Amino acid sequence: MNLKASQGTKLSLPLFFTKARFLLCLLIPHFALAGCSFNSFGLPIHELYSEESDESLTAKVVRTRAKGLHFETRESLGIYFGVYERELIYPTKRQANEGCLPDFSSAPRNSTRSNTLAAYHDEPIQMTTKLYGVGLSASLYEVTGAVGASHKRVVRVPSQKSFSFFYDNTNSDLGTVICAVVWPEAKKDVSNEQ
Amino acid sequence: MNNKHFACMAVIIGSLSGCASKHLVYVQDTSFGLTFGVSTEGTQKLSLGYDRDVYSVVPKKGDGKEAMSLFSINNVEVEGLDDMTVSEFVAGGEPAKRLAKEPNAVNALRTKVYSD
Repeated sequence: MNLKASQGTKLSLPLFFTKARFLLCLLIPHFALAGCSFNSFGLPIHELYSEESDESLTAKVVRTRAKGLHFETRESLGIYFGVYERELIYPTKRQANEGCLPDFSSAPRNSTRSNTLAAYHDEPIQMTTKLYGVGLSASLYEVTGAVGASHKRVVRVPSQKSFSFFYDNTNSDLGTVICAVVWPEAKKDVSNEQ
Repeated sequence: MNNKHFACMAVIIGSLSGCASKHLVYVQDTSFGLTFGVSTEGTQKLSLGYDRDVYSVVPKKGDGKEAMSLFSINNVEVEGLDDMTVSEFVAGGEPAKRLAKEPNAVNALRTKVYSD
């Protein structure tokens, strides 16, 4: 803390309301009332933070829901205050000729689970985030900040690879139907073929 | 924010923005309030109030080269910040090329996406 600044504020405000103590007065009641959470370690507070991973042969879905103060360390470094929800969809790696077209109607939750057979791509093909509150995050791809309400959906695929992706959340009875497949080999460049 | 902090932020953002994009990106972004963003795909944003953006970023490959074969059928209905129904099929590369040659498969997909 800047001593001069503290002394300066002491003249106009009571000592109790110096910057550090003022922040502590805000944060301690907040932790007591709302709790705080980390995405994978620290202090996950029951019912204020949840993360579920749904793995199948068609996709891997990681959903995060947090309330209160939340620190995010997966895929990005972020700090959020409020209600924060995120859904990451990792595509499966398949051999060529296999895609979502023949089996796009099968949902991850209903499909045969076999984690030993499914290999997932390192990067998510879709990331959906909802935030009601204040948030600031940084990743290898972007730096974002928001105050208020925001809903962002990003579909992001490597341009060198072939892929197919099906997403459907229109039928509430079936739930969200997801299929995401990335072929491992690099895509051929048409200009080089000619 | 003093000059040092501003310079530090500018260096970080500039470093990130300088990276060449190798991804195809499709974004639907709805916000109410104050938002800002800088991405390596070359997009920047600063908004106050209600804002909705739908955009895509296609990487550059150079003259005479194909950026990407893409096939997409989308059906998106937005009725609020928390109420978005999406039914879509997207394919890139070889699956897109194959679908372009199979009108029956395209019709079946279109029926599926718009049926619900």
